[in-house]
Amino acid sequence: MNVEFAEPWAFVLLPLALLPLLVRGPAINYPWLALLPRDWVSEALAWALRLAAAAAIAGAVVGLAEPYRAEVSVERIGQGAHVVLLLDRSRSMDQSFGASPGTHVLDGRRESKNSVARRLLAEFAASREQDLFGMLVFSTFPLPILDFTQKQEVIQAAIAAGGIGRGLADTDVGRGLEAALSYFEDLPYTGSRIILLVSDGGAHIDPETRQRIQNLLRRYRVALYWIYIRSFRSPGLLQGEAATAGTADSVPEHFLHRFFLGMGTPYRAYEAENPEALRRAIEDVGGLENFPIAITDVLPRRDFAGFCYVAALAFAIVLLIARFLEIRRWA
Amino acid sequence: MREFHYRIGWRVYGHRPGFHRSAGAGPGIEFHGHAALFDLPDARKLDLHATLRDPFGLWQVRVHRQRASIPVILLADLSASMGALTGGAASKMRVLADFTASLAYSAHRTGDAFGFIGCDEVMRDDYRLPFTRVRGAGIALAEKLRALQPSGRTAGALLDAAVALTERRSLVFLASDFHFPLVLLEQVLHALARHEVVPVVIWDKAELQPVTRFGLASIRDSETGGRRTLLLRKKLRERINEAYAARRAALSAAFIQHAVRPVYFSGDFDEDQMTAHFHGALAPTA
Repeated sequence: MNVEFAEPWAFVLLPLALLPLLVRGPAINYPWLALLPRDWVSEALAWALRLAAAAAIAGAVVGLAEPYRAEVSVERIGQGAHVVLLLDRSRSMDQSFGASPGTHVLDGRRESKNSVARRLLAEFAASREQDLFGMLVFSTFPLPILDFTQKQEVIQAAIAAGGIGRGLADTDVGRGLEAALSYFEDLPYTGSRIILLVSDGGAHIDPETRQRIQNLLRRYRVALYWIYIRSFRSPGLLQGEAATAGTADSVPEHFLHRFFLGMGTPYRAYEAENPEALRRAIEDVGGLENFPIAITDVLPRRDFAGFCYVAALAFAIVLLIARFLEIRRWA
Repeated sequence: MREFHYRIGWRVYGHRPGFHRSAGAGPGIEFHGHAALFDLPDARKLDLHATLRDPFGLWQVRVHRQRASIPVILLADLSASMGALTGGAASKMRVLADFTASLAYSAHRTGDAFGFIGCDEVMRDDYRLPFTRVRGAGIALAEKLRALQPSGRTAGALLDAAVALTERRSLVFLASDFHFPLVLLEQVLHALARHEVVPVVIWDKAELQPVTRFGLASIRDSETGGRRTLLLRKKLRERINEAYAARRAALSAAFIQHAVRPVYFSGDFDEDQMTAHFHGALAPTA
């Protein structure tokens, strides 16, 4: 660990630390010191106080020089899946979340689909600490937010960041998926790859894009998990599995579901209103096979000036106590 | 200011009339012996009984001893240690000034000449009083001493002064706190062996009784400038008292070796204590 100094000129002041050792303060005039018994406790204390004074000055000076450890890259071995969180940020996500068909319209406690989605993502990310997470949101265009990282604070902050304001106009799942897939471009295959799509899914994808997505999913060997956020009065995904063929053209999420099922790559769908669904999603990811991967972790610059000031303050407090104990008149 | 009474233990060889017993014959009350009228032609002193007893039938006269005066000198230590801790109620310089005034007055009252030599590293010419019988000399000197903040780094000139006192046998008062090496004390006492010496040990009570508060005291030697920090606590206070007791014992031992009896003052100067030293059955000594 290399410590560097932002303001090395401050060391010009360092000789000041010698002052307490060289200069003596006022003292009681005593007739004859040779008469007084030698007292090693007093002598040790006197030296300790002088050194404390020197240390206090030195600490302040070093603090002024602002020592820091520069940003360094550290290789770490990690193990976990690569997960790209793909969050739908379209306006439809601002609408209320339909817990299940038949819930009363005027139920005031309903939250927006967006906030449900974020809560689910946050829980998911929090329970999968060893995985690498990337994140992007999509609407008309995909917006990359986060490259793969293992740092939970960053991930949680990224998830929470989009909770402000209203959603954007349109929903283009195809472009979003393509952008998510681009995360795996040139990435060595070291563990399971998952795209976790959180969406209400109301969009069609044109055949050309469908073909591209299918190809890329195969090439990159990516599994697609879809956490389906049900809209109010939407029929839902799974209960109508048999009916998908009939409703595919009229209900966009059924169309999407059918497309994903038919791709031939690993695909799972979960419905958000079911608390079990999230647990299952977490377990499913946990059951995947992962290889150790080397992660280059960047440790941020660290400032040590604070420590120096605290040390200087501690020594100064010692001196202050001694000051209160000082006797300035012999009798 | 009061007078104290001193006396000496030897017969003075001197012809100046005074208070003290002398070896010389002269007008006096003390009977010495008889002499022939031819040798001492003073008919007033004819002793008829002695004349009758004289086998040769010579006229006999009584011979008396004259009483004589002596020089009294005060060798005073004016080194910086005498001026330290002046915050004390009875600082050492004040005691020394009181003593000087009282001694000068007493010497005058007794009819003796009084002299003063102030010493630090050198014999101080400005604090030197040649033998004098002037009545107020001591008062002026005491005033000067009261105003003095001594700054001498040693009391080494005490030895010079002692060596310089080769005049007549004198009564020498050696006033100091004796905060100097015992070696110097030995030398001074040795040089003064011919005189009658009375060491006056002046200590400030404050020296050995620091404040009773627990705390840190930074102290400086008044003479060498050396520094020390003391963590004043009960145990250290006891050790300081012990150190002073040990010092007093060491001083007393040195004085006894030179057949000298000291007077200790650790408070105000007390004329009665001085009188008791000379006339008391057993003056308090160490």
